Amino acid sequence: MLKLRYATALAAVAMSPYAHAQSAAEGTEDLVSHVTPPPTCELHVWPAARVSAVTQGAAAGLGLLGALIDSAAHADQNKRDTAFITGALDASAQARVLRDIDLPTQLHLPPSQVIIHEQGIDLKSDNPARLSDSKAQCYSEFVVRSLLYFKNAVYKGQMRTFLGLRSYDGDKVTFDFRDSRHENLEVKLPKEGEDTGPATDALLKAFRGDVVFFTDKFVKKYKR
Amino acid sequence: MLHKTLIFAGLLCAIAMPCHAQTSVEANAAQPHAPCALHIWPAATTHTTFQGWWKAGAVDGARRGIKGYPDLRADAIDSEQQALILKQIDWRAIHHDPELEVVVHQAPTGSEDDRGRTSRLVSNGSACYREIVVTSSLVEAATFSTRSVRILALRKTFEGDAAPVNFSSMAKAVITLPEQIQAGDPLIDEATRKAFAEAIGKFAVMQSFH
Repeated sequence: MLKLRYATALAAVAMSPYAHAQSAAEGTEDLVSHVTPPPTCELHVWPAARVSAVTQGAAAGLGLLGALIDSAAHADQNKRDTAFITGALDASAQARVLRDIDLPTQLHLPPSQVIIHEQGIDLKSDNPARLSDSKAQCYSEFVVRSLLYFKNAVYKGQMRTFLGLRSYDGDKVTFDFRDSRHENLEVKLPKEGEDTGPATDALLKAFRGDVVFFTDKFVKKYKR
Repeated sequence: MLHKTLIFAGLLCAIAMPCHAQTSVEANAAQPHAPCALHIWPAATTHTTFQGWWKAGAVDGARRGIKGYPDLRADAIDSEQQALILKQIDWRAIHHDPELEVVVHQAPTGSEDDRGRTSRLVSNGSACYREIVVTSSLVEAATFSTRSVRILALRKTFEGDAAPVNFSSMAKAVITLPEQIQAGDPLIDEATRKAFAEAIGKFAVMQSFH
């Protein structure tokens, strides 16, 4: 009974115009205090524009003819591995990893809107123009330039990621940093019919490791 | 006091349990042969990979207008065409289930991580529910190798409320072209679609064993 009275009283207060006005006012205040404008800086991200896979056998070291024979012998495997990496580490998979890393924080950039593009783009060193149409004063570009899988008799499968970061203040390039890094893969790339799950996880892990290494190196070089 | 509480709890159980059992029996009786559901989605797009003598590595090279990359006619198996081909496959025969409820969706899943996803994309209430997602579709060509279509696909099996069981793999089919053929010949598109259907067929069979 006591509870019911309490509930009735609460309802009466809640339904009164005063209570409504007060809630509305509080709500507005909340909105004002919590909604912050989006950052003015922009970080544009492009996924890998190039993917290659190269497996070499012993013949690769026997001159031009040996290299040709080796290339022919591994053509199907290289084609398969290239396609697998392209599919398993597609634009959305790369975006997922990069979002998870929180690039602006990791790169010590000012708070930035992250714009992730779907199609890869080639970063040319002789062209300092921006890769997007953005006119933002504070603007950066993070480009996954290439993914390369390499394996031979000496090296087990390794995934090398080529990355680039450019920052602008207006039209002026403030820094242009490029590097690559490889991670050894713990599993073999799959053949047709095999479970692709473990290799997909290994590729994602290697990609993440490569990106974190790159960002750490960048911070060490430019931000300390 | 504790004794009385235990008796009361026991009585409640005794009343509740037959009711629960009865409900289960009724539910089973109402759906004695609830068909299994299979939902299928195409990939968002078809990419191309090319390894030539002088040019290699660019993904979607021709689409991006890079010189030296041939047009591998990936648009012949865009999302819409994939859905059409997926509809032509006899999924009931592959699963040995004539009552299988098959739904081929026109558009890709839109899910950012189909492998990691633990929920169903379609909640139809069926206890037996599977999803097949073509996660990637590629047309590939290389020196010393044939032109082919490759798919990466994922099958998710949901049984009741248990976590889904994933099986992901890839399948390839060679694009067989007549010897004398000009670039842009409609036969290329037809052969590409045929190879896609063959690759899907291979995956459909391999996933039925897992």
